[in-house]
Parts: sequence; structure tokens; C-alpha cells
Amino acid sequence: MKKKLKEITSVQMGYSFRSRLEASEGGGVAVIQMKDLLDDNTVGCDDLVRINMEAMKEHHLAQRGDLVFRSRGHVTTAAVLLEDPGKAVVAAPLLRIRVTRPDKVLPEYLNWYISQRDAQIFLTSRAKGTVQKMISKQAIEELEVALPSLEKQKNIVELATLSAREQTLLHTLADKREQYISTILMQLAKGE
Amino acid sequence: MSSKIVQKDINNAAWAACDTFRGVVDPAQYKDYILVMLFVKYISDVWQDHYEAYQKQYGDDDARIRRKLERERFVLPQVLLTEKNDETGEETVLDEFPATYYSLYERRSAANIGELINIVLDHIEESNKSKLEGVFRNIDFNSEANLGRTKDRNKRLKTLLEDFNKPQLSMKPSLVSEDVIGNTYIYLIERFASDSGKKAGEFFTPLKVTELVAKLAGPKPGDRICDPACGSGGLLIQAAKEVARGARSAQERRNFALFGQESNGSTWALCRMNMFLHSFDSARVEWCDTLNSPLLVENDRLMKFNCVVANPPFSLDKWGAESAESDQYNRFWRGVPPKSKGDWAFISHMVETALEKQGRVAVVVPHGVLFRGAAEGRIRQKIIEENLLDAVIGLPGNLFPTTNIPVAILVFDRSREKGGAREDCKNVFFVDASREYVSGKNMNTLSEAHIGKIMATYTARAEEEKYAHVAEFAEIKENDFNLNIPRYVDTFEEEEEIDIDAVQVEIDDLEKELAEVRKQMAEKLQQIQR
Repeated sequence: MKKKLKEITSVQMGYSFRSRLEASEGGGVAVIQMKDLLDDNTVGCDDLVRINMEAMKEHHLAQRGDLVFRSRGHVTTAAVLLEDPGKAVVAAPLLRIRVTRPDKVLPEYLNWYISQRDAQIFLTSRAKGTVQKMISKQAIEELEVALPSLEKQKNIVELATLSAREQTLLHTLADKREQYISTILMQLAKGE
Repeated sequence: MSSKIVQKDINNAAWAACDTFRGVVDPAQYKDYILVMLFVKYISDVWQDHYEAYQKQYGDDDARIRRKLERERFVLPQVLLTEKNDETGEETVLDEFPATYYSLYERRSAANIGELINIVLDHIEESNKSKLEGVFRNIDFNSEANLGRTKDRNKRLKTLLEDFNKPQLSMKPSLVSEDVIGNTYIYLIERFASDSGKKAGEFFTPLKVTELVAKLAGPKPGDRICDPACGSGGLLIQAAKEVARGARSAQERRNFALFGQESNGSTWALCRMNMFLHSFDSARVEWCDTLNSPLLVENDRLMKFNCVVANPPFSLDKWGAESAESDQYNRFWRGVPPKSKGDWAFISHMVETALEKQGRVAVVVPHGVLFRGAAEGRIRQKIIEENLLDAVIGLPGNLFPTTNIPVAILVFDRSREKGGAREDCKNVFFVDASREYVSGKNMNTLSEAHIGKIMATYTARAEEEKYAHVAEFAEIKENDFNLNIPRYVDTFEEEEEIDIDAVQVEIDDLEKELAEVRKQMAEKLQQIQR
């Protein structure tokens, strides 16, 4: 089964701050910015900037399970909020994608799907701008998502996570082995 | 009482005035128009201010006030425009007005406004010959080549005059201090430098670098200070401020003499105006090429100074090596630098113009000066053997609008000569300050704290790991008089001691986890494919 993204989620533009963010330690609202999206496509909630902000509209707030989509630049993937960020707002130009049909789709699955080849081809074809690529809210809403059963989605997410972990391990292992060998060789060269 | 005018407003208003020219005229050119206009506006405001003060005292006795004003720092004369009747030979007066900005503003719609501005500039220059001679020589407000055809030119000049009539740009001394005006001047010069890139940036050294150079040169009250490549004069002004900072009395604050030489005519004019705006009227700034025809001479000898500072053009090509051998002042006796790189020529000149046994020299140089061989290497060796080099300070890259190469400052101290006060000091102090800067969009800068740290380290002259090193003569000799900073200051991050056994354990753990992950994956795959 295939569904358009807008049939299973609601997409919301990030809140656009008019000026530079004035960070304040005890601020009541956390802000999710581009830099908080980690390489493994999750949102890092540890270093969110906190600000003082009144008149916060409910629809700007993010919650666990939301996706945060990178709408500008060469990377057009999303990151998923695995933990509860507390009272947090998504900053423009990021888009917030919230699953409205949890019976049809898992957020983690959707997050994985967006980063796959099919979705990326679609998004690239809808991108606007010459220097700075930009994906509009309308464009991402039109994305068609393949929806297997929830059970299958769960398996896909699990396997994808394992595969990512495998990649990380392989890289670290390569680095460590390189470090190990070069140290041994240096000792040998110096005759220690 | 008008409210106090702040620096930022003036700066912004002045910068906004530049919009008239932007895009139409080349920045390297329109900067002259803007800065000249700002200058004229300032002296007109000062004049007006004093006129009003005298008016209060003497009433409307114009003649008497004018007589009084003639004893001012400068004079703004009356302009008399006449026309001679060819037949009768009779002269009729067409117009008469004081040579001020305001007269021009009133006539901003005149068909010959460009000409009128030129006439006013001419009168101002004529009446203040000793201070402003030649300052307006390079500028023509009636130039079709620069400002376009008559109709466009008139429109542009009209807008320019109107821009400067803004209340923010009222520069009466009763409202703003002359420092503010001078700062605006420097601000504009700086903006032009960064805005228009390489071409217009040549005449400018960033403020923080000049500050550091001035501090390292350490001018004191009573000193004669010289910049043989002075550009728009920022370094001289900074050196003057440095004197004031160390002074104990008001008298001492003004007790110094400034000398400069600049080879670019319009930059030289800027420098004269800049000096005037900072009330250094007595500064002597010459217009000529320092290396080939030094004009700061007395009795056929080079003038000597307590302090010589400069940011000479980096590796100047064709600086005049041909005639260096037979230099009238024998400045290049240590050797003639290569003809494609004038760095050591400037340094030689500076060292030669510093007072024997006491003069100090601080100069900004590209790193090549520290290590290049051949002729430059020989000059370097000689100067080190003479015990003149006091310090080498490496700065971060990208501090200049014109280039992104890292530069260094060399400090020479002639009190280290035989018979001087610091004769016994035989070492060279190295500071590697190249890793500390405030990174900016187009350009890096140094902060107050960075300069403070460099100065504190320099004054203490003490070893500091990864930052400063005292190199004895023997050490420099061992390095073949190569001053490349990394030879003396090791800034490599200490590599963490690698514990082979621990790494082995880590590798084992990783491999175990990898095996586990792969097993899980295999199971999962089976599950899915089933």
C-alpha cells in the first residue's frame, strides 16, 4: 500500500524567529535547530538552546515521535525525536512532521523511508533554488510512502538500526587498528 | 540643547551617503569623494560653531568676527565670483559666499555645482596652505569621467550634498568630539577597505593590528614617531594614542611629533585630512616613495626617530633594487634585497631611521621574511648578529582585507646595540599568537584580550609553553638564522600516549560487539524473509 505523506501525517513549518536567539539558562522553551539533528538521524536533546518565550502557540511545539525535516541544503532527510524534549519548539527552516495515523505508520519507519533512494529521488526532483536547495512543505506532503504492515515496519527499523550500528563499529574498528599498528611500527622504528 | 550624537549614528549616516555613488563609480574612486565631502562638512561645522560663538560675543559685526576667525586653526575664506565684460572691461560680481559646505548646500541645484565644489575646495586649500596644501589636488568634482555626464553628475552631487545635511551628520564641536569625527573617518576607510576588497584595501591596516604594532613600538612622551609607509595614517594616530595612554600630564599627552611618508597621492591626501581631523595639524606627511626618494631628511641625512612603525606593502615587486646599491643614504649596506621582494628594503630603511642606541622599530611582515634565503637570509643574519632583533610575533591568518596569509610583527630595538641600555640582552623573544583570534565572516580580528596577552607575555619576556620562547643567540645560529616560528615555539598538540594494551582490549571488544550485531542481523533477516 502507498499513501501520500499528507494522508498519514501533518506537516508544520518551523517557528521563524525574527532575530538572533537570545539564549537564557532558565528559559522555559527549548529550541530545536539544524545543529541539533545528529548524523544518525535522531534529534539530540541534550544541548538544546533554551529561551524565554511567551505566546507560544501549541502547534509549534514538538513531542516524542515527531520527525524534524531538513528543508534546506543538500541533505534532505529527517531526524526522529526518540525522547521527550519537554516544552520545545522547532525552528525554521526545519519542518515538523507528526504522524496522525499511528495505526498506519511508525515514526521511526517514516524517518528511515525518507532517507531511502526512492524518497530522495522524489524530493530532489521537487527541490527549488539554484544555490540553496529548498524543499517546500507542499513538496514533502506529496511524497508517496510505501506502507507495509506495522509488524514489517518494525522489523525494517530494527534491521536498519542494526545495520547502522554495524557500519559504526566497522569504522571505529578500522581507526583503532590503524592506531594500533602505527604505534607498534613507530616503536619498532625508534627501537624502543 | 540637541541630544548627544553617538558614533554609530554618524557612521551609519556617512555610510548611507555612499549609496549615491555605489555601483556607479568605482569604490576606489568614490571613497575620495565621500571622505573629502565629510572633511569639508566637518570644517564647515567647526567654522559655523565658532562663528556662532563669536556672534554671541560681538553681535552681528561680521567683519569683526571674520577678523577673529582668521586666527583659527584654519580659515574658510570668502569666495567671490566675478565676470568681466569684454566690451567695457567692467567686472560684475556674480556671487559671493563663504567657502563652506553650507554655501554649497544652498547652491545644490546650480547647473555648475561640480565646478562650485571645486572652487570652494580650491579656496580652502589656498587659505590654509601650510596645513592642507595639495590635499584636494587629486579630486575633481566636475569630472565627467568619474561622475558621469552633466545631468547625472549634477543629480548625484545634489544627493550627496543633501545626504550630508542630515542632522546625524552635524559635526559641531559643541555636539561631538573631534575624536568621533576622526573615528568616522577611520570607520569609512575601514568599510571601504573591506567592502571593495583588494583594490581599495591597500591603504588600510586593521585597527587591532595597528593597536598591537603601536603598543609593541612603545612610544613615550617626547618621542619622534615615523611611519615610512603610512597609508591613511591609522598607525601614526594609534601611536599618538599610545603616547597619550602612557602620559601623566595633559602636556605630556600632546608631546610627540608625527612623521609619515606615502607614495600614493590620493591616500596621502586622505592621510593629511585624517591627521587634521585628529588635530595632529603639525604632523609632517610627505608624498613620495620611501625606498627611492625618502623625503624625511635633514641636512642631507635621514631624519632619526625614537619610534618607527609600519605595515609596508607585502613583498613589493619592483621596489627599486637597481638604485639600491648606490643609495645616497647607504641604507642597504647589509645587502640589497631581491628586486621582486621589497620587505627587507623597508626593514633596512626603518632600522636605519631609528635613533642609534635607543630607537625602536615595529614592522608587520609576511612570514617569508623570517626564513627566505639568499640575499634576504644574509641581511637577516647580519641584523641578528648586530643584536638588533628583539622579538618575533606570529599572528593569525586572514587579518587583512587584502590577503589571507598569516603575518608576523618584528620588533627591533637599537638600545641593544653596543653601548645601548639593553646591550646585555642577547636573546630573541618568540611569540606564537597565531592560534588565538576572533573569527569573522570575511576576516579574522584580534580581541582586546588577545592583544593584552601578547603584550603581557612580551613585557614579561618569559617562556610559556606552546606560546612563547626565549631563544638564545646560539640557538638561532644553530638554526642558520632562520626565524621560522615553529622552530622555536612548538605548538603541536601533545599526542596522547597510546596504551597499546588498552587499544588491543578495545579492538577485541569492538570485534565481539560486531559479531553479536551481525548475528542479530542474520536472525532478523531470516525472520523477515520467512
